[in-house]
Amino acid sequence: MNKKHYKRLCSTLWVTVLLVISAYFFIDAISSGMHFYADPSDVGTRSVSHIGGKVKEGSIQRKDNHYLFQVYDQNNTIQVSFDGTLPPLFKEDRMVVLIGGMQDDTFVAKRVYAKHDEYYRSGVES
Amino acid sequence: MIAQIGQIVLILSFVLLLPICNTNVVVQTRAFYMHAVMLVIAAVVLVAAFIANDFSLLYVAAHSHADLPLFYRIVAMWGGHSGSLLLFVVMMSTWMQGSLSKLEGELKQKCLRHYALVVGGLLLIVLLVSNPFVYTVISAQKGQSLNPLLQDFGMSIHPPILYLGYVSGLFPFLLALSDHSLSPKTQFLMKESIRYGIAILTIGILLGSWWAYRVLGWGGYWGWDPVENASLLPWISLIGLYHALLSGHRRWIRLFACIAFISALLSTTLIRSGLMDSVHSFSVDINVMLVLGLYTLMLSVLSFKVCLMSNDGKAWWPFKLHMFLSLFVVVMILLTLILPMITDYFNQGKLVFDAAFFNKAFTPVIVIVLFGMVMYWPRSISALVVSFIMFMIYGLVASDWVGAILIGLGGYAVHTGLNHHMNLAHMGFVCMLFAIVFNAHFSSYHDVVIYDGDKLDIDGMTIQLDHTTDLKKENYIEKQAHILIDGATYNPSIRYYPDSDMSVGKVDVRIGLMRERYIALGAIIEDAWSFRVHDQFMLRWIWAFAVMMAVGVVYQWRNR
Repeated sequence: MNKKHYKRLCSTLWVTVLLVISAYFFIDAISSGMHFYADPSDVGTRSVSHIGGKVKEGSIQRKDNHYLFQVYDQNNTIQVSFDGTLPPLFKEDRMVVLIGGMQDDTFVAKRVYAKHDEYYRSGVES
Repeated sequence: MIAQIGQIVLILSFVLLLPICNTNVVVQTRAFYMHAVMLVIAAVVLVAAFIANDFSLLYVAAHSHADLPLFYRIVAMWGGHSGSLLLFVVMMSTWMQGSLSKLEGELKQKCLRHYALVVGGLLLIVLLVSNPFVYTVISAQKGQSLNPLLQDFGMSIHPPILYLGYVSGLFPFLLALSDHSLSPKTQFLMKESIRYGIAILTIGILLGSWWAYRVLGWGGYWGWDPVENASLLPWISLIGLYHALLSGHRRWIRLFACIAFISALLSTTLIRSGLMDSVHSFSVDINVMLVLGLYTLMLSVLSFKVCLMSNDGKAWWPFKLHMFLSLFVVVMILLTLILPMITDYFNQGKLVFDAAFFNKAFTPVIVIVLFGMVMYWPRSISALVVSFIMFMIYGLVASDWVGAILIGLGGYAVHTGLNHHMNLAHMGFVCMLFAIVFNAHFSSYHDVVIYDGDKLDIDGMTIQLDHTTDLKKENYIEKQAHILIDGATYNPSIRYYPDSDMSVGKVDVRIGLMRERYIALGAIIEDAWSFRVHDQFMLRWIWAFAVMMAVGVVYQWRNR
């Protein structure tokens, strides 16, 4: 093995190590930050973390420092609980995006967003 | 009437692209100036339609309202997709006009021809798919009004400045297409164009961040929303291009010149076309998508040919690392923008990449960037001493060590390095990173729900809802809360806009040197007022350092 080979071997090793490390970080990032949007109908069929749906009329109430409301689509309605400040655009019969997870039969939201269209009008239809 | 004039002028500007492809340089130049003037007239006509409340234009009817103040009626011109695309094209021609005088002979002709090709495609999209001058005979009485969230000073000036930054990529792109050998003069011209471009784009992104912070009310300066990420694409590629120009490696210059412009195009067209799925947008217009896709494909093929050209010599490995890293980041962000569309198109559900993804993915990237910066850093003992003294003095006097670190770093920046230009820009970036990290670690928030007249104790804060008032203004109804926190009064409010049936929060901020308190009201449910009290740390510093970065990029006085 002459000097040229040695150098090439070294650089190859370095690149491999760097690639492995970056692949690790990348996979880690993907596994914690990439999700699929779900509809209320998908609840129960698979694990959900991001849900988009419409707020049911007359379902919003406050109980024990939590907001409780229901979100629905054509097939299903789910109960949501949220501890925090709802966005000003939040309204009955408007689309919202919820981020959180299911606990028993309730979706415990960590964040609630009001959905906009591309002109930032709050979404009336889906 | 206005609509017809606008339409004719716009078509004229398109037709004038034909003589721009002429072989006689005099004809070309004259045609170009005529074309540019026509475009400006078209934009002026559109603004005039907004000022005159001509609701026979569909675009005006969709984005303006008779009750809107004059300033916002003018600004509404870029409130939607068609208008902002027109503005983008106008800016392209104007920037080109400024650069044209520096070109001559063969190069000028080639550049103009390529300009005609690039702008022709965009104008075709403006004319056929997304025309702002489409009109109806039966005109609406009032119009749908500009979105309340956009009725803000920050948002009014943010799009034009951002576009101006994007547009700076056009000239280098044309040069890369036209001058295959990339002579030193060409490289110099590219550098000049980009220097201002990067600074303007930085300011533009910053303005957007400022707007989001004040108006959207989620208490942050950056949310990794697709719309925000899209603006990073041209920013990163322009910076990549600038560094490539400094090193003079032609393969990378060509590559990044192409990427910078195409990504700028993608960001402008994607953001407002409703293709991008985010917290913001939802409708998908298949026509726009198809035409834009074809157009981008055409440009990519064009630039691919250029990028395949010869390499020159071996590059220093940190430089190569930088280039590959920029490329990687651009591709990664692009994928996060495009993958959700693809999965949605194939009915696999919508993908979301949330902040956790970007925070994790960007941490190693930033580490490598910092490493690269250190590689370039000329070491100077005297500067280190000076900065250490500054650090100690500020730290001891103000007993604020976080600020002291920043001031020390700033002092180091001004005293080392090849030139002030590089120092200011790099240190602005480094200090901005510091401020971002500090902000992430030392900021906190509390959610408060309170009834009128109540007093609460939360984490040592005395919070009292003193009283609430209802106001009725020109185009909105305002509910204002008067909140006392530790003796200071805050007046956040919610504005309800009946024209667009929308409620918008208005935050209240008290700014200190390091900390600021930020209060955003939430929805009012069952007479309970809810709001979030943010304690932001060093938020203004992030923006200040971004400005420092922008100043550093254009600043080129007294090179050592």
